[in-house]
Amino acid sequence: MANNQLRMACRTRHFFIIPLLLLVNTMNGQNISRYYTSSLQEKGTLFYILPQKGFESNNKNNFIYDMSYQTQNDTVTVNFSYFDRMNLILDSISLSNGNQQVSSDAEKLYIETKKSKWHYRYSSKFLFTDIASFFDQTEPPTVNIYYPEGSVVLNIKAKTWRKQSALIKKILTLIEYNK
Amino acid sequence: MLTKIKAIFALLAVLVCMTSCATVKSPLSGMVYSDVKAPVAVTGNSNSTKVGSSEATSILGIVATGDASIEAAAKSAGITKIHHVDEQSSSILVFFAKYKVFVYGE
Repeated sequence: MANNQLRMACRTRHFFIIPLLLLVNTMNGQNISRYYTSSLQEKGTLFYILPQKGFESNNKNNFIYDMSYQTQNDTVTVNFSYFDRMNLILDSISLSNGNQQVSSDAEKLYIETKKSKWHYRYSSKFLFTDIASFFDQTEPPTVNIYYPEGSVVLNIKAKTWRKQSALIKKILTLIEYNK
Repeated sequence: MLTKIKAIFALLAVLVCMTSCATVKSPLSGMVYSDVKAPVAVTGNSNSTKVGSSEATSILGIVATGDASIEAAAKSAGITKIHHVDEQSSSILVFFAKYKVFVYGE
C-alpha cells in the first residue's frame, strides 16, 4: 500500500516537473528568435528588436525602447517611451558609452496619458556602429533624455544589463551576418 | 486501485477546468507551451521601413490587459501607410498568455 502511494506520488511529481523543465529550458536559453523579427524588403532586410525594459530614473520612471534597422542603411531607429508625472517636451537623447557619449535629436511620435503619468513616445536615430559599441560594454551604461530646462538620467541594474546586452549583442551579430 | 483512478480523474478535472484559463488567439494551440507567429493582413502598399508593435497579456485568465490593436502598433512607430501585419501568440501552460501585433509600413 505504502509502495503504491509512493509510486503514485512519483508519477504525479513527474506530471508537474516535466512542464516545469520545458518552461525553464525556454526561458534560460538564448533563444533570440523571440526578441526580434525580420522582414525581407526591396532594399535589404528590415530587422526589429522588440521593446526592452530595464532603464529607469531615480524616481522609478520607466523607459522602454525598441529598435529597427534596415540592412542597407547606416542608422538604427530607436523608438522609446518614457513615463513621467512631469510635463516635458523632450528634445534629444544620449547614450553614454564609457567616456564617450552619442546624442540624437528626439522626434515626437505622440504624447498620451497612462494612469497618473504622461506617456512620451519619441523616435531617434543612431549609427549602427554606435549602437553596437553601446551594447558591447560590460558596465551598466546610462541613457540621458534632455528637455529645455534640464535632463533625466536613466540607469539600469547590472544584472538586467548583463542579460539585455548579451541578447541584443547576439541579435546585432546576426544582423551583421545578414548585411 | 480506486484511489489511483480517483487521482487521475481529479487531475483530468483540474486540467479541463484550467484549459479555459489564460488562452490566446492563435492558429495553432499547444497545451504546455506555444509560441506561434502568423499573418494578419497584407495591403497593396509597396515598401516598409518602419515596424511597430503592440501587445496584450493574460494572467491565469483572471486579469487581461493591454492594447494589441493595429492602430496602437502603427502609432508606436509613426506608421501611416501599412504594408503588412503579423501576429505572435505565446502561452505557458494555463498561467500566462501574450498576444502581440507587428505592423510594417512607412
